[in-house]
Amino acid sequence: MSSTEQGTSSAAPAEPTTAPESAAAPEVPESFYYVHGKDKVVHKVSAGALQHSALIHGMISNLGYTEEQAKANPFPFENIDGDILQMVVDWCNQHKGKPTPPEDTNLPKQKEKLFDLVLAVNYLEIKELLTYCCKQVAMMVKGKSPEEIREIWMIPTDAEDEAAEKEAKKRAGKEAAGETAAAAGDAK
Amino acid sequence: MPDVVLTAIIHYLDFRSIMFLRKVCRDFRTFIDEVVPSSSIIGLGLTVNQERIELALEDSLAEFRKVTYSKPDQELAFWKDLEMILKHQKSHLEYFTVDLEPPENHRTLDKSTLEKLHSEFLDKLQNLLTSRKAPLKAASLNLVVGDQNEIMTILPNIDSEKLEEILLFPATGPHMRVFKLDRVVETVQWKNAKELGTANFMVEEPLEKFTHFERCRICVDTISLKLLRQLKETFFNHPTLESFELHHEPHYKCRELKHLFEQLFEGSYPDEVYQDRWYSRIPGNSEEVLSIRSSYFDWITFSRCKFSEIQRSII
Repeated sequence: MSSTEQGTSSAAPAEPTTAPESAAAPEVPESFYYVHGKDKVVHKVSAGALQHSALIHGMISNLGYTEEQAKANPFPFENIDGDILQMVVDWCNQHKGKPTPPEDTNLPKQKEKLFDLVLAVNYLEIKELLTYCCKQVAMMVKGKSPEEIREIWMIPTDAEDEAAEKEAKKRAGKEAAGETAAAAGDAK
Repeated sequence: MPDVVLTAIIHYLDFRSIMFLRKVCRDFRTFIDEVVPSSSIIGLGLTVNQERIELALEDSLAEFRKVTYSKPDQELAFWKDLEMILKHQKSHLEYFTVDLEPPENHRTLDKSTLEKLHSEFLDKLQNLLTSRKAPLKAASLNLVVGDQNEIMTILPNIDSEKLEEILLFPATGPHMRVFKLDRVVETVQWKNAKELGTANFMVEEPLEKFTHFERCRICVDTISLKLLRQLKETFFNHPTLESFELHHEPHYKCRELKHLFEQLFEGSYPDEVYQDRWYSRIPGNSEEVLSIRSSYFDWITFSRCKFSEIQRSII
C-alpha cells in the first residue's frame, strides 16, 4: 500500500488541518482518521469533516480507535476510484462544521465522473452532497426524450440489454463446456 | 442505479420528464410504477368538445403545456395519460378545470341530446376519480358544465378538506337560465368551500345555502326587501363572511332600489365610481361596518370596511 499521507486537500479552506500544538490552546486536539480508495492512496481526514458521511461516522463511533489505531487501519473503500474519493474528501473538508449552501456548483462537469461521484456519495451516505449530485444529474435529462436520456446516461435499450444478456449467457455456457472438456482431458 | 439515487433524481424532475424516464428502460418503468413518485403538477385543465380533448398542465418545475388529442383516434391515449397523471397526483392541485364545450349547434339540440353529449367522457372521468385511493385534492374547482348532474360526477370526488373555491359556469342553454343546484348544495365539498363564483346563470336555492362562503357571487332573478334584510343579518351574525355579490335581473329602476336601501341601511356616503354607497353599523362591532355598493341596475355587493374610513364621508 502506498502511504501518501494527505492532510486536507488543496481545495480545502485555509484553516489549520491539525490541532494547534501551542500550550495556550485549551481545545482538545482534533482526531483524524484515514481512508483510501481503489488506488490505495491514504487520505488523512478530520473527524469533523467525516461527520458528513453517515457511514464513516458510524464506523468511527463503533470502533472507538485511538490515533495510532486509526493511522494503522485506514478505512478501505475499494469500490471507489482514487480521484472520486479525493473529491469526496475535499468536499467534506470544505464543508466541515459549516451549514451547507442551497446549491453546489463545483461538481464535476464530466458525466462519467459525476455518476461515479453519485455512487460513491450514496455508498458513503453523504446526504447533502448526494442531493447536489442528484439535482445535477436530473438537470442533465430534464425535458429530454427517452432516446436522449438513454444517450446522456449511457443506458442500453431493453433490446440491447437482452441481446447482451443472451451473449453473456452463451459465452458463459461455452466457457463452462470448455472447462468440462479440459477437466475430462486432465482426468484421462 | 440505486433506488435512493433514482428517487433523489426524480424529486427534481417535472412530471413529463418522469414519464420520459419511465420509457427509458424496463428497470426505470418498474421502479416508477412501484414507487409512484409524486407529480409536480399544480394545475390541471380538461377541455372537451366533439372534435378533441385538450389537456392543460401547469407544472411547478416546468413550463405550462397544452396537449391536444383528436377524437376518436387519440382518445385512448388521452385516457391513458390522464390515468397516469391522476395516479401520480398525490399533492394538491392549485386548480382543476373541466370545460365541457357544446357543439356549435347546441341551441338547436333538445335537452336529452345535450345531457348525453359528454356523458361518456364524464363516466370515464368519474371512474378515474373514484378509483383513486384518496380523493383528488384541488384548492379550486372550475367547472363549465351543462347541468347539475354533470357537476355531481366531479364535485363529490374532490377532497372536501382541501377544496376552497368552486367556480361554476353554464356550458349550454340560454343566457341567465335557472341552473338547479339542490343536490350540489348538500355536498360536503360545497359546505366546506370558502369561495363561490358563478356567472351567466341564476340560482333558486335558499340564501342560507350560500352564506357559509367567505366570498360569494350569485345571480338571482328578483331581489326583495326580505332577501336584502336576510343578507344584512347574515353579515351581522357571520364574521367570516367577507363579501357577497348579488347579481339580479335588471327589473328595477334606480329609485326603487334606493328606496329599498333607505329602509334597510343607516345611511349613504359617496363612492368614487358608483354614485353612492350604503352602510350599516354591525351590532357589537365598533370598528367595522357593512358597506353596500350597487350599480342601481343589476348588482349589489355586500362587504365590510372600517368605520373610521367612511366616517368623514357619511352624508
